Amino acid sequence: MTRLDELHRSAALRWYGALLAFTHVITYVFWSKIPALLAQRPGNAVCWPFFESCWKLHPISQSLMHGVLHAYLALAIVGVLLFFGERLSRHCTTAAYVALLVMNLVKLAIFVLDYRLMGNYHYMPFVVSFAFLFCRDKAALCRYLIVGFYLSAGSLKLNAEWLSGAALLRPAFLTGWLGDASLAYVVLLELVLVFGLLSRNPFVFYATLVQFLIFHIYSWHIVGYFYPCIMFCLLAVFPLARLERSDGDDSLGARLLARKLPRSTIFVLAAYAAAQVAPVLFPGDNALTGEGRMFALNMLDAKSECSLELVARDGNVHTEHATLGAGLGTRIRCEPLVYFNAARGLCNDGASEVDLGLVARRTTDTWFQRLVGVTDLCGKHLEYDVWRHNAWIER
Amino acid sequence: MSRRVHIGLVVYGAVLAAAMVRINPALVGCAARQTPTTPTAVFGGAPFRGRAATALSAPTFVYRGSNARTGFDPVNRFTGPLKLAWQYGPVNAGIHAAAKSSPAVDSSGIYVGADTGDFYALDWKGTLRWSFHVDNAPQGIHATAALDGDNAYFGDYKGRFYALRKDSGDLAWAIQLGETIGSSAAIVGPAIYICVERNHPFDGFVAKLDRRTGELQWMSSWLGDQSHASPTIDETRGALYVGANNGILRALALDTGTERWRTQLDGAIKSTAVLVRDVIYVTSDAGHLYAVEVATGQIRWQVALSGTAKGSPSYVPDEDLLVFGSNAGTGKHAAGGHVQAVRAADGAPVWSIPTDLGDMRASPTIEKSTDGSIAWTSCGEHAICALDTRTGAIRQQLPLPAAFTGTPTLFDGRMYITLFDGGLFAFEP
Repeated sequence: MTRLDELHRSAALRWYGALLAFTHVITYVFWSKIPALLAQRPGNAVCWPFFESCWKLHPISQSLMHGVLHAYLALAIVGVLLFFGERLSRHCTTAAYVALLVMNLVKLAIFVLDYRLMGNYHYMPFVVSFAFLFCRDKAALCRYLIVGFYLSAGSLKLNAEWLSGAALLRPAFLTGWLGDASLAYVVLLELVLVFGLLSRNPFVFYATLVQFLIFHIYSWHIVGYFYPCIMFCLLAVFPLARLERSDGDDSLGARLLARKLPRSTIFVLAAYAAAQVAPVLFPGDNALTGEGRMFALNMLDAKSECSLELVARDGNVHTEHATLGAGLGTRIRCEPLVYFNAARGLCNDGASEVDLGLVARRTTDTWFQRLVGVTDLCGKHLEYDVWRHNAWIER
Repeated sequence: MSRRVHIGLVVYGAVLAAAMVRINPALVGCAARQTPTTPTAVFGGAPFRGRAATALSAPTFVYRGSNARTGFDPVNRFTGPLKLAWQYGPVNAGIHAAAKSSPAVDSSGIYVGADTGDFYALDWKGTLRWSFHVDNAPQGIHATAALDGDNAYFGDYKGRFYALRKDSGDLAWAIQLGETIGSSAAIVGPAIYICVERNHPFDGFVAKLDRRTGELQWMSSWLGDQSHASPTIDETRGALYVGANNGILRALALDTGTERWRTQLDGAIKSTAVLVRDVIYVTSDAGHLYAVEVATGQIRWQVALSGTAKGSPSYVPDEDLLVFGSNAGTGKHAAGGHVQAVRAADGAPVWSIPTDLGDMRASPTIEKSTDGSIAWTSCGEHAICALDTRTGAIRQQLPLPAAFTGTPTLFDGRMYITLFDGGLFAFEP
């Protein structure tokens, strides 16, 4: 059975494909500020470590980016519609498959232009879309992956940062003891109750699913609309597959325990699990150092704050650039990689000497710790190593 | 199989719940949620130590001439009228109403901060040696730098405190302490003392830093309001004195930052206290000059002034006088003001001269002359004067293109001032 045969045979998968395409419509709305972000001067670009020359593409014309984003939106809408065209022609589903592939490639192309675009709300749709497009037993794999997302997120929340509420981006409706209890409940939901999503028992299954839906609805006032909307789309695979009875008599949990899984499923799940371990293999507090985090989910495990010392020297004029980090997302606003990029941007802008210092702490810590203290960064020709600990990042 | 899985899940959930309670005991009511009660938990800090000095050099300049902040310069001597040697700038652009940074001068040159966010190092001819622009401080620098053999130390209006190498302008270290620093630092041995402000809500505290590394050694309790004043150091008693906008004058222990006493005055304390023997003198926005016992905080005497006083009094040792300026009335913009002298012993008035300056923020600098002492201070909207401290007679009046709000700095026979909206001026005999 080819990858497309599954889609032709399963209405549930086609519905799910349409929802995955719809995540790109939501992404289009969410990315409305991107043209302005990418139109900044090259020195303000924050490049991914595997695309360190991204600054050469900056500034990107705002009209060009608007054009690309409009094309991306059109493709996403067409993709959504094509997934409903199976009855008209089997070619519609094939075209929808290709459209979903292309929209992911377009999204990836935009995504790699700047590290500030990173976020779990992109990480998860990318992983699920990969499974949907390239793997067998799509419905099962997507569900295992989503359970895996929750397990990863829950394990990251098992700390004082989350349990005290300090990690929350904004104050929650529930406060005091109720607030503490709700935060603990989320950890139990993501680490224990989540297995209910794999249950064959309809009561257990739907009771669990409803709890997750309520959790995401509740989180809306804290994290904004984008993340919950993405999760609603991704979670849809559970009721869709169940309504189609695509699992036969076995529950997903039973299949997992009995190891009745295709090799591609095992491979993808193993790769996902390995990626989540990556940050732990780097020394120091990776919520602050950021090393290894780009491989893994980094849910609201830690909110950090930092103080930047970035000084460029041009002859006898020293200029501090303490505001380069302004407007960064919560997860990367204190990451050494961001400021390393900013410092190199100043070198590329012609500064003869650049000093970079960064101190940071989790908001629950009393004291800051020094993460970076490099003088004359331009002359030292430092690199950011994705795979190994960077000696210039202090633990 | 199913039962074992369920039992496993229950045990797993119980272990997790126990772990969460251990991490956050407040979940079961065993401990209260931790709320920051001291500034330490709010700010904290650790420095970037790019170029930490290996050995401590002696202090060479602090605001108002000494940590006692008397404004008396025992070295320089007035020998005759001064004339303009050179000017550099404009330095300040008149951003924010606070008094501007005064030049810090030692044998290595002249250092001054600007409300534009630039910090300048000049040579004796008024040529720029280097500059350092602080980022993200729209109201720039208003504090006067403290100097030692290696570094210049100052804070900016974004709450960051800097140590810059005097020879190159390179950053030695910096630390984010709060949201505003208008205060000028005091150097005592290996330590630096500085007042730090918070804007939302208004508050402040005193911080002690390691001079070599910038590491924070202690932060005092909240002062209850912002503190633009600079700490006055009393090494004999191991104390520092500082006022805040809520009118409370405090004595803190130098080694721990704990409060020894506090005294409520009648208005905001914008000025830096002056320590003379066992008394500190300080002005209030409500228009009083106070003499306060350093041992107990008791008010020894107080005199009503013509109006608001934002500047500090300066001490004339030979005549045991205090010279200072005040406005006519406590309104924001008075029609005029006075420069006056009172006896340090009892506050009795000695002389007073009227000025057309309705917003007196400058503090005088005292130097000796061939016959008595001279007080250099703002004496008009656009003028600085040398006043005879015995009579208030004007010995010299220098016209200026803009208002002067700082403290004149005397060094090697020259006088250096910065204007509120203008440049840095050097005058010489």
